[in-house]
Amino acid sequence: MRERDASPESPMLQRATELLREIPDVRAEWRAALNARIRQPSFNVRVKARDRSTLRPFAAIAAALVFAGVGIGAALAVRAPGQTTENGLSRTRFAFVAPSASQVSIVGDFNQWNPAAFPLRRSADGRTWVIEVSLRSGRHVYAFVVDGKVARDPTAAEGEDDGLGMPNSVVVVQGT
Amino acid sequence: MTHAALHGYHAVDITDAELARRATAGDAASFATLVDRHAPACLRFATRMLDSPEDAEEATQDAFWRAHRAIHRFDDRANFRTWLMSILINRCRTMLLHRRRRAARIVLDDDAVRRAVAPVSGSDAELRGAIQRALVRLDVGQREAFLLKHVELLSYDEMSAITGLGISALKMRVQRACDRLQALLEEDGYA
Amino acid sequence: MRHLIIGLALVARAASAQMQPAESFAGRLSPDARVALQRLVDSARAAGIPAAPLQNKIAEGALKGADERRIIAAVQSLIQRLADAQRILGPRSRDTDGYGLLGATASALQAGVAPGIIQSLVALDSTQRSDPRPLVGALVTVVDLIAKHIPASAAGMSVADLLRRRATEDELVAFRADIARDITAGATPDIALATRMRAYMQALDANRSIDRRPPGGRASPPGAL
Repeated sequence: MRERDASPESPMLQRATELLREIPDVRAEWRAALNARIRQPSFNVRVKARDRSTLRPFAAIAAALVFAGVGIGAALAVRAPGQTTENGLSRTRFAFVAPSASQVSIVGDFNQWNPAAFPLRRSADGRTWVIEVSLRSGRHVYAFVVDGKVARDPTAAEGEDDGLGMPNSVVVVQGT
Repeated sequence: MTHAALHGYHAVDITDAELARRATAGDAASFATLVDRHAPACLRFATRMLDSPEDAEEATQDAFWRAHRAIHRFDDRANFRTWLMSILINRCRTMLLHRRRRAARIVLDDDAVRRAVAPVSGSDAELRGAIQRALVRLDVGQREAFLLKHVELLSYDEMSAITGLGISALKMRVQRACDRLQALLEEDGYA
Repeated sequence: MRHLIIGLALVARAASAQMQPAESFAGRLSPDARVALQRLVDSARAAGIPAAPLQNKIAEGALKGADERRIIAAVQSLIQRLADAQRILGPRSRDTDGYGLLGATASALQAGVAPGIIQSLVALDSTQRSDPRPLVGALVTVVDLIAKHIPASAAGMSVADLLRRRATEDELVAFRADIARDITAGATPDIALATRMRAYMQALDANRSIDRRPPGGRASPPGAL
């Protein structure tokens, strides 16, 4: 069964790709810096072709925008040890740190990705959102929804990229 | 050894493999010719991948330095460009990881940071900017695959040797990259 | 894949398909998209592929606001991967899918793991134990390593080495966490993998507890996985 060969199909994307193929100039200073580095006998000293000591302004602005707009997130999926319900389900605790969020929920293959189904509650510290979910043993795919935006669990295993946006988080529930 | 001596002057019909063999034997001019041949394309790839001429120069310099140190391990039956690209890709990935490390505590949505949309006037300069903006919004794996296939014009066999991925997976990444780039260009006003 | 999709479409037209859009995606997608997706799900079901993962994929795409064409493409791709996974797993795909083994296998194929590597992982697990969860954990670990830019072949072979040494799911969880931490601390993915593989294999071979300190010997912070 042959897979079709992927090519830019639209004329605009084809033209844009041609522009990407343009060869940049190789600066003489860069070339000289590489030569100098190669001449050094036995240790790795990067010879800078230009001064890079100042922080590039866009990186700082971008970080500030993301920080303000989305908030800090960190999550932990912890299995509540030794607790199994009668149906062979295990209580699994999820936590997400988002002090500035208004609402956080968890979505995944255990609730048909319904953001209204499993809202997290804010814990006593005011910063952490938590929930315990009864899950069958085995692999589950999930994500958090933080004020309407889908977010991955940065501490969990990462799923594959299948073209729908941010890859999901994956947990394997043990049970007994 | 002077700067001039490290620019090699060799006939263009000497193969990369032969130059690598001579460089292994200590011929600095041969390695210099390899740099002359491959630096432009390496800088191009790194610039598109990292979206920063400075970072691209650093990654490319690192790659050539490492290639120089490891030239004795290059099997001259292999493809030098493929070997060099695999070194460069690792340098680019490392650089991107270091950037990610600085933002490790921030939950990112890939649309969370929006750049201003430039007015469409059809000029190549503006399209050049638009496609680069779209490229950096691609997932790293898709960006890599797209650049290797459609900018560096490598075969899927070569890409598989460089990245370690199977050909089907690479084709899928390239297709998804094309779809996403098309969508992003449309968002930016380019139909 | 195109032949498989055409085949499924023909089956859909021939069969008396029930047009009942799943509640999870009704209302978010256009009528045309819902019809197309329902046909795909019905065709896949007729071909022996479970509908639940497909319906979940549709709901996921709708939630993430993905373009409808991408959702359809993702579902088509998932159908192909699930069919491939069923072939690789054989009878195990039906016996044990309460544990998500079929989905884990499809996920590994999507991430670029070669079928041969998955088959060797399945063979390793079959000869040693009947509980599929270590195999599920192994596949999850391979996909996670690939997401961290470790080449698929290196990821697969490393996890096979751990599975061969009967690494438990808890040990695989720790392995994933240790590599993630090392990369965050600045190690390249290949160095992180090599370093941790040495430590884990030595410990598993000696049947002793694993030293999870970062390279350099600093203790892990309390509460770390």
